[in-house]
Amino acid sequence: MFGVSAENLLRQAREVQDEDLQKFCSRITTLLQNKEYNKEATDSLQKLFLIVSATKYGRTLPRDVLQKFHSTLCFLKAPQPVLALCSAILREVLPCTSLTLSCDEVNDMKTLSLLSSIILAQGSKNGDIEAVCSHVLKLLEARQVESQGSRFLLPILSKVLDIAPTILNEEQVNAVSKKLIDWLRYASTLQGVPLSSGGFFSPRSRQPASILEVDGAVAGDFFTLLSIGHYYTEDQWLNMHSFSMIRKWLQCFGASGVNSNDADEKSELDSSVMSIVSATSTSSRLMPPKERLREKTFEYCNRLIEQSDRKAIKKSDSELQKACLIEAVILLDLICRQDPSFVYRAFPVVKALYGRICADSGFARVLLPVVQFYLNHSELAAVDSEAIYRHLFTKIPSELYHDSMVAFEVVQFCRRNRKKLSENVGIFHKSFPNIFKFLAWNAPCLFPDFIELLPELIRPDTSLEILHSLLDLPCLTAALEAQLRSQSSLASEKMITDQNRKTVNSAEAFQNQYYRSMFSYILRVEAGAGDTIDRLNLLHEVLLDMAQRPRVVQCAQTVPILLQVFFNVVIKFADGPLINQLVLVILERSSLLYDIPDFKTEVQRVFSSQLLVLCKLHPPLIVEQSKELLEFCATVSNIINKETFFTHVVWAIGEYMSFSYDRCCTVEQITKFFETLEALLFEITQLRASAHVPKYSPRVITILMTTLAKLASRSQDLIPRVSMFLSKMRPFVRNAMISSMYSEDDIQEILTRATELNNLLKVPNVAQVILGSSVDIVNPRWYKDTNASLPLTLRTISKVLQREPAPGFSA
Amino acid sequence: MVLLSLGPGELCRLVYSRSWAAERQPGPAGRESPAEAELRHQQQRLRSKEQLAAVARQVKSSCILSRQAAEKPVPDFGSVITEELAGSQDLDLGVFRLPAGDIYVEETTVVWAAVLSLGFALICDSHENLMLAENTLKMIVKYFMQHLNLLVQGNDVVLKTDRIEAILNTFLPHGQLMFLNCCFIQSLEKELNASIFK
Repeated sequence: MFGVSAENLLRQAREVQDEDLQKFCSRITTLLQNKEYNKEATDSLQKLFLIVSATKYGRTLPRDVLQKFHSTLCFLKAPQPVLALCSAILREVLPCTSLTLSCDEVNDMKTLSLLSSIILAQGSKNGDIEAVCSHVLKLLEARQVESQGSRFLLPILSKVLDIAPTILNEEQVNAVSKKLIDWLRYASTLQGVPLSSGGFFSPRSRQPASILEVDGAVAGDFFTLLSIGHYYTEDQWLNMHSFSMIRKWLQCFGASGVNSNDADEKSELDSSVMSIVSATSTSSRLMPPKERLREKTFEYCNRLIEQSDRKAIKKSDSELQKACLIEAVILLDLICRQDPSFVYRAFPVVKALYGRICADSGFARVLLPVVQFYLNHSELAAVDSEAIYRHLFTKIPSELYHDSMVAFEVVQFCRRNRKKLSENVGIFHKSFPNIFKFLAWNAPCLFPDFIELLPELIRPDTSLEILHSLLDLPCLTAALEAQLRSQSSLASEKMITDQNRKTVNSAEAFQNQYYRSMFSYILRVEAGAGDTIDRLNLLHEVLLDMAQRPRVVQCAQTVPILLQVFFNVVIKFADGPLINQLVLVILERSSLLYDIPDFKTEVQRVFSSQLLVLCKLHPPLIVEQSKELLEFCATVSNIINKETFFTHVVWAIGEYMSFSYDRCCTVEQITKFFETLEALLFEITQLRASAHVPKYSPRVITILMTTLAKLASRSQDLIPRVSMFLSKMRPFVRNAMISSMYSEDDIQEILTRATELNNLLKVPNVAQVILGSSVDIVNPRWYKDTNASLPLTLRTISKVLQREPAPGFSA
Repeated sequence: MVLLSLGPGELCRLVYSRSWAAERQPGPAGRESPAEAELRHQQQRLRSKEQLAAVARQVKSSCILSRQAAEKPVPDFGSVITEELAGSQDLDLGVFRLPAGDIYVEETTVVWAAVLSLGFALICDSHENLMLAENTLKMIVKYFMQHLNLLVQGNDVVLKTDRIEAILNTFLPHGQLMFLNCCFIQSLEKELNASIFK
């Protein structure tokens, strides 16, 4: 168990002083000098590795110990553990001026492997990498296939491709391509014979057996990595290594033209090339190495796909078959992108594969490269791919949302191809309820990807439904949990039809017919069945037992940010009617949210800020939605549950309920709002004898007062009523019960505001300017015109506000 | 490849890390003096260590969130694990993406596995075969458990670097993911055993 002792070791390693380190190094040098590869040597090397790797800053080791390491690495008889440790230490410490490594004279494969791993890990200059590369290539050329060791060279080459693919010139590329062709296609089909079998005097062993397939049958065609043999020959190893790196190779060097690194961009081709279709492969001997390699890789992939149909005896081989299928289809896709003439040969293969795997959910991850292939090439092949997209978007999410690897890969696929899917695949947008299931179940892992994906899913006709779905994401998580639990529960499978029985938990509710339609709605696979359901509150209630589950809470935390993303996208294309509907949804849902405490607060915070954004975009909405807003404001309970949101609504009313924003605004409407808000303020400030007086934040009170004043300034008959109200504020706050609830600062704030507003309203024309800022406040006229200029107005206001309170207002 | 301990609380200690190629930095313009080269190397090393630490932290939080969501019991980090118990532990598995520029310049995918308080992560390019990476990681963790006795109390896994290196050099040579069938795996196992017990 990793614990205190290891912590101590690491700490000690970090704290080793330089002089101790020097002494230690000289001891090691002596040991290595004498070739004493005993336990002490190994232990010391282990400790030294810990010392040099445990600190963030590098440690310098003396030159002689470094050189000793180098020479030990080149000493063939040194034991493996010592070699491994020397190379690890050098890797940590280099690059450094005391030692430069080169592997030009090294011919032993293992040594070359260790040395090159140090060189390549250093971030070396191109020159060093080039040296390693050319040495490796030289050895690959020179080596006879039968002798051991070449297989250790290919991974080195593969790593070089990662770091600096451009250092290989055309000639080298062609040479390696030829070798790859040999290894991939013409490896031996007989099992190897182990070197140590028998000896000189033992009878000749039987003839080497043939290679087998994964299901035990004798291999019918050329050797691939899915061929089984108890002992492999060198070229068979090279076959496996070649395939492991062939994708990288083709990506670097496979495009038409010289050394193209972005070969996976779709190449622009004339239609003349596409019209040349050959049904069979042309005589391969006449083709240049690059094209030949492509051809052979194509054949290899075909063979792998065919071999993967066999039922493997060992489980690890079945897993391998899936990984092979994925790689094979990706390679086919790559080959077809590089040379579209392959499309007509590849399509039947891929289509047949799809037929084999579509029914088996264990092959879901293989489906993705297949869909990618269709996405890239179905247009060229004029093949209808509706069915396959439908399968991906309707079946996979609802069955496999809980498999984190499947979820990750599907979401990555959607994200990478979002533009293409959005333009070409109709069912993509409609499937958002299903795609959301991945997020609902695997929120922390997939959340950043959804931020990128969501904008492409939003369309004007589904935006309201998406908004509702986002708000109900945690609810979806809870429903999925309930579904899983009820499926695995041992309760009776009979549908519970007794509606009178009180449902205890969500898993039971899932089986209850009364709740069936609600669950069906929230677990739907396609959009279009309606923006939301009527009895949403019932669903929330019955899922309440899940509200504290970690998975649900994790999902809920992602929602506010996704809402922001949603609104950012929607406001770009939203027109008046849509904005009105959005506001209605905001108003409605502000009190209809799944009961997770922080969740409700955060969502309401988003609602508050987005309401103001929407108002600014489309000011007439206040007037157009006046009925709903009046209803909202009339309910006192709305204040208690969502104070922030409420204050924003009231502020918006005050700001935008005016003729200057909407020509349709009438005096009656202003009066109606006024009366509603006045009644509300009255109710809040009424002093009742009841023991429990809910405390409203001072902000609510001040906002209400200000809004009333604003409305009054636009319809000046209302001014006397407001003034009377405002003058009542002083006795209100000075009442013993109220003044004990609020702090002195708050009380002063309320009083100051009341006084200011009252004074302002005494000068109605000025009040109109100040309290009803019109749209063209940004017009320069307000600042240049000496009669109407803003600075002048402000000076007047200051004088007005700083006057002593009128009689009747004495403190 | 990263091996880390997911200790209790805030602790996340990087036990071992192996990177097969340094991140390509733009080379020095013109010739630089040895001192400048040294400084550049130090900075590169520091950056590399910090990147790995950042990945380790993210693996730890992914693991914790995943275990929370699955409502697995929090492992008791102080308890003694016997050898039999160690063999039957479940492996938690997960994956996440690091967008370009987040920790590394290029986009990478991190596959992680966790057993009790130990985590393992494989940092892959976005083009690598994810299923193969997952299988390889599971296989390597199995060998780690076997040869390092990872979960048993008092074991100084931090010192057993030679075995870790041997396993990685055999099954992930130069960081190359390999398509290994059962027989290739058997051969490599024999090679591994030979090199460890030499």
